[in-house]
Amino acid sequence: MLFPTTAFAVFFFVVFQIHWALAGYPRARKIFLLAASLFFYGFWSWKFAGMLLASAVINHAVAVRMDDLVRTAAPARSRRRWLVGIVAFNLGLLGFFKYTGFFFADALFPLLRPICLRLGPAAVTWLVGVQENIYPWLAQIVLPVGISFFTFQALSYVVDVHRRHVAPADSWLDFANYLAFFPQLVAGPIVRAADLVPQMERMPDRTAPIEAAPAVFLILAGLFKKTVVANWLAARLADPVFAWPERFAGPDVILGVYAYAVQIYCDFSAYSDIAIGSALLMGFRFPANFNAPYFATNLQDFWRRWHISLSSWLRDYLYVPLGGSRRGAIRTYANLLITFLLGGLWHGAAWTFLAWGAFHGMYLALERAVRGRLGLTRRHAAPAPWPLALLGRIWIFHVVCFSWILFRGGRLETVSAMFRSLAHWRTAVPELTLWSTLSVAMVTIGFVTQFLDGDRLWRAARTVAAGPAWALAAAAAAVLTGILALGPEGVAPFIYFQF
Amino acid sequence: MDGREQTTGMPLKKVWGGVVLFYAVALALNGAALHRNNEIMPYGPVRTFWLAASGPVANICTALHFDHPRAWLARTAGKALNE
Repeated sequence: MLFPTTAFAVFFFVVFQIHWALAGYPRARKIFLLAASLFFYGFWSWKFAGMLLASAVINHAVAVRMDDLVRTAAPARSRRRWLVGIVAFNLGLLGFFKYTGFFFADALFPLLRPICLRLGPAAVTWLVGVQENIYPWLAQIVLPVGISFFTFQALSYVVDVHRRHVAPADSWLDFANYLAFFPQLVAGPIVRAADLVPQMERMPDRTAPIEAAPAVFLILAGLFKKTVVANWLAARLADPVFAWPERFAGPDVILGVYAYAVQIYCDFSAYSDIAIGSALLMGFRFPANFNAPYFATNLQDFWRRWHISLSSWLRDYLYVPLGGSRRGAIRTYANLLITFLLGGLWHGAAWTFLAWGAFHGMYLALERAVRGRLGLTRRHAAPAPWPLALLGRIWIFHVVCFSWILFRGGRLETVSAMFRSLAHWRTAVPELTLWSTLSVAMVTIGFVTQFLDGDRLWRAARTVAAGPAWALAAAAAAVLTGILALGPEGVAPFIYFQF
Repeated sequence: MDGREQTTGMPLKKVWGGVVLFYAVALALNGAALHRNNEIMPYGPVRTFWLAASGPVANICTALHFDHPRAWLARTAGKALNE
C-alpha cells in the first residue's frame, strides 16, 4: 500500500478512528494496531506478513531470555551466545532474501567462469549445469518490502537489551507493534526501541494534546515533494539520462544528475515526512530523519543530516563497536571504510552500491585526515566565514551528486557511460535537450524544499495551530487538491522501497 | 527549546472533527477525479468495488460543481507541468 493512494487514505481513516475509539481498552487497541500494521504489510504479501510476525516473536523471546540471564546472574558468555544467535538469525534472514542472488550471479559465478575456462570443457560443463539449476531457484527469491528496515530495528532492540540500554518490552505484542508499526514499516525511519517501545507500552493518552498542525504540514509537504516534484524530476530528467546516458550531452547529464539528487531527497524525505505525520496524528512521535542535507558543509555533516536514523544506527551498532576513532588514525579510517561499505551494501545487492559506500568511506577518511592535519577538529573549530561555508556547501553538494551516479547507475556499464557522456559537450541527437525554464524551476523548487526540514516546519505549524481546527482541515483539503491536480496520473513507488 | 517542544497540541475531539472534515472536503473536491482514476484500473473485483464506492460520490460532486477547482487547476497548471 503506497502512501499517496486512495487505498491508504481509506485505510488510515479507519485505523485513526478505531485506534482512538479503543483508547479505553489498551489491550484491544494494541491487538488492533498490530492487525492494522499486518494488513498494511499483507497488501504486498500475507506470507511475508507472517514472517514479520514470526521475526517479532523470536526476537522478543531472545531479548527476554537475555534479560532473565542478567537477573539470574548467569555468566556473560551465555548472554553473548544468545546475542550471537539472534544477530545471526536476523542477518541470515536479510542475507538470504537480499544477497543470495548477488552472491551467486554477481560474485561467485563471474569468479568461477575464467577459472573453469582454464580448467577445460569438463569444468565449463559442470559450471553451466550448476548455473542452470541455480538461476531458476534464484528467480523465485522475492525480496520482502522493508526487510532492511525492520531487520535493523530488530537488531537494535536485541543489541540494546544485551547492552542493558533498554529493558525488554512488557510483552511480545508491544515489541511486535514497535517492529511492524505501519507508518515506518517499509521505508523507515529506523526508530530505536528506546524511543518507540515505551510509547507502544503506554499507548497514547486520549487526554494528551495531539500535534495535529505539524502532522498535517508534514503530510502535505511529503505529498507535494513526492507527487509533484520527485515524480516529475524522475520522469522528465533523471530516468531518461540514466537509461540512455550516451544519447545526452554533458550539460544534460549534469542536469539529470542534479535532478536525481533532488529527486531522491524529495522522494525519501517525503516518505519520512508522511510517516512522521501519520504517526503524530495517532499520538506517536518519531525522531526526524532529514535536516537539509544539501546544506552540509562537509561530508561528515552531510551524514548527520541525511537519513539520520540509518547513519546513527551504523555509528552506534557498527562503527563504535569496531573501535570508532579510539584506536588510532589508520584504524579509524579502516572503520569508516568498513562501515560505509556495509552501509552501501545495505542499500542494495549490487557492485555499484558497494562502490558508492567505498567512495563515501574513503572520502570521509580523507576529510578526517585533512581536518586533523589542519587542526580543524569538531571541538575546536570556529565557524567558517560565510563565503567559505558557501563554497563548502557547493563542493559537498557536487561530491554527493557524483556519488549518486554510482548509487543510481545500477550497473558499472551505466556508470561509465554516464561519466563518458559528462565529458561530451555536443549531443548526438541535437533536438534532445533537457534544459528548459521548467526543468531548472523544478530542480530549484525541490532543492528549496529543504528549508522545511528541521524545526522550520514545526515553527510554521505553530503559527497556524492557534487557528480553528475546521479552518486548518478545510485549508489542508484544498492544498491536497492542488497537489493532486499538479501531479501526474498514477504514483511511482518510493525509491527506498527497493532497499 | 526547539520548535518541536513549543508546538501547541490540539485536544483529540478537535483533531477528530478536523480529520473528518478534511476527508469530507477532500472527497468533495476530488471525488470526480477519483472516479476517473478508478475507471482506468485493470478489470477485476477491486476495480468493481472502487467504482461502486466512488460512482455515487462522483455524481454528487459533479452535480454540485465541487469538481471545478481541481479540474481548472489540472487544466491550467497541471497540464502545463505534465504534458
